[in-house]
Amino acid sequence: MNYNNLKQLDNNLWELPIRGKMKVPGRIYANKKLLQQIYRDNALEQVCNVACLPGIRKYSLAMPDIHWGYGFPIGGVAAMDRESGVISPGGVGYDINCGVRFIRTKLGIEDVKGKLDQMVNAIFREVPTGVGSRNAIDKLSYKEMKKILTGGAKWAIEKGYGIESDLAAIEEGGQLSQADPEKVSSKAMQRGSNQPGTLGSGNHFIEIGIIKDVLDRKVARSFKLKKDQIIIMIHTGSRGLGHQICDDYVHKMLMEIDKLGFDLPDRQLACAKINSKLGEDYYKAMACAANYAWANRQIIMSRVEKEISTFLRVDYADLGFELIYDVCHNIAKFEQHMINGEKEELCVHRKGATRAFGPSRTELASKFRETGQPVIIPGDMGTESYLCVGTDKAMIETFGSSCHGAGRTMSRHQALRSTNIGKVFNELKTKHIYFRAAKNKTLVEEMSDAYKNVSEVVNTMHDSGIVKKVVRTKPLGVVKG
Amino acid sequence: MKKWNPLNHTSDYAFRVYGRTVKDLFINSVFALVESIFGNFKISDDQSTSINKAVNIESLDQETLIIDWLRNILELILFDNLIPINIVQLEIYSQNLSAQLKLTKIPVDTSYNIDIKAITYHDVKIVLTEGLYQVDIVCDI
Repeated sequence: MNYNNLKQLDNNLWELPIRGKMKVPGRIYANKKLLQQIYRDNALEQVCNVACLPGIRKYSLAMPDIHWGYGFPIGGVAAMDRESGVISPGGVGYDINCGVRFIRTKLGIEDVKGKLDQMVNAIFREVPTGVGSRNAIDKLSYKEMKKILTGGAKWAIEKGYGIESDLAAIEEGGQLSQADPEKVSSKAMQRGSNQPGTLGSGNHFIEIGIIKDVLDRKVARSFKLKKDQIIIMIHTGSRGLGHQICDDYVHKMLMEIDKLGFDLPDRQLACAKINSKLGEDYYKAMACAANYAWANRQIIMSRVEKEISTFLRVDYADLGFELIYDVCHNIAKFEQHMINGEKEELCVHRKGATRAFGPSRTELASKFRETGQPVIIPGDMGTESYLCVGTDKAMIETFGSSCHGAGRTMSRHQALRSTNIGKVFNELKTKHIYFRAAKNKTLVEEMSDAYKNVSEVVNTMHDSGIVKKVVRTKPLGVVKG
Repeated sequence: MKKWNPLNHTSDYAFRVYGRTVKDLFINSVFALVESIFGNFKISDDQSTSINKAVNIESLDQETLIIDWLRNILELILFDNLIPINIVQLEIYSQNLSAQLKLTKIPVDTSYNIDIKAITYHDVKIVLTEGLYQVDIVCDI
């Protein structure tokens, strides 16, 4: 497709005017360099396809980490009118509530020096990783599965994984109340029953990092973050359960697509009216997977805390694990936003995008009402990551959304052809990053060159006023799936 | 004639399948999926342990049908731990198909090359180019 009509609105914002069946324009946050990378795959065509969906409001949005997905682009945001709009499982993605959490510790570099290799190994042993990883905890019965699907992170805390105060630092308190396990297939239940507490494969990771720069002293102080402090990040989602729910409902919606009276630009954009039975059923099932993912990250955090405490022989108080925040990357949520001066109830799809609510939002826990919601933007395993906060400008421009990571620029297949495991090992060793992966192949697929430069991506969001950078971290040790 | 080859896909995994006929295309798509997941895994055609299974699928059109066919095969791999070793019979109509599959249990120590979690309907189109049918399949990994 030709994008000659792309209109530059400012340094980091571009508009794709309405054409064909688009109902709203597309808007892309990117600097010129990132835009060149975005041009290389089909992501912009997907922005246009999303703009054709019934009930879409204002813009089909693309964050600077946008890349080619299926149906929606990854890094895409679309808000649908609750009455006339549609909900699309493809707009959420297969790994429902894939997300990331950021944890502070009281440790400094001296506490972990010379021990990182063993720490990474200890975490790798404790948290099952890789393809089909399972049995971190006892397989859940059907009855218990229903409890995890409705309880979310709270279920995990009741089982002893973490503490009550963690909930205030999780998007939605770690629990979507609309969850209804009756809307989840037995196949999905089966896939999820033995996977709570597991990392999975691909780009999922556990990272031991260090704060290299404090970029906003006031906000960092309120989060009790300082230079050279050790932090932990955990990135995973709803495992096989979420994939099965997405698969089940894409198929169901596709089979009923004639009812919508609308030509899909791509079958993977299969959708249903939000207020139809099928649309409501999907939302209730999706909420189950979101809750499962929050429980999953909660269990993993607790096990990492236990493992580091045991390994370093420090008690929990001295270790000082404290969840700063947990954000979703793949989700649809009902939120109120101002459009043309009127408050509207919208279903905001974020696929490979992070909620980035500004300080004004009452949904945030009181401790974030001054700062804005923490927004975690991990880079690739060999470079750097950022903790930011959402802004009130994000509420006006992006339905309170930001990018979710660096964004791939190279396929896994290309990555495997472009280098070898020896080179990746050497690169990580040169940077003094300790690593373990279920498969060496994953390390090659996830090499730094396969991703955009995360600083460029984050700076685009920061310079646009969508987020404010708080700290920059560097990886010291990484466990990959 | 090559049966399939992997394609570049920025975030996930994709492959292109070829066939002289639509039926070939459906059969080769199974090879593509199985070989993608298991790499060079050699399938033992041990008649004593094989299982026969009938598969009937109804879909919207031939393009969604090939995806539903592969979803069905993936389900056998993920849920029943079965791998197809032979497609004994396959009848394809415009919107539906019926097949007889011979399958065998996946050995416990089998390693997976790619963790394909779902088959997507993304941009699926069956095209006829220079006498060969082609379809691109994008998988979620």
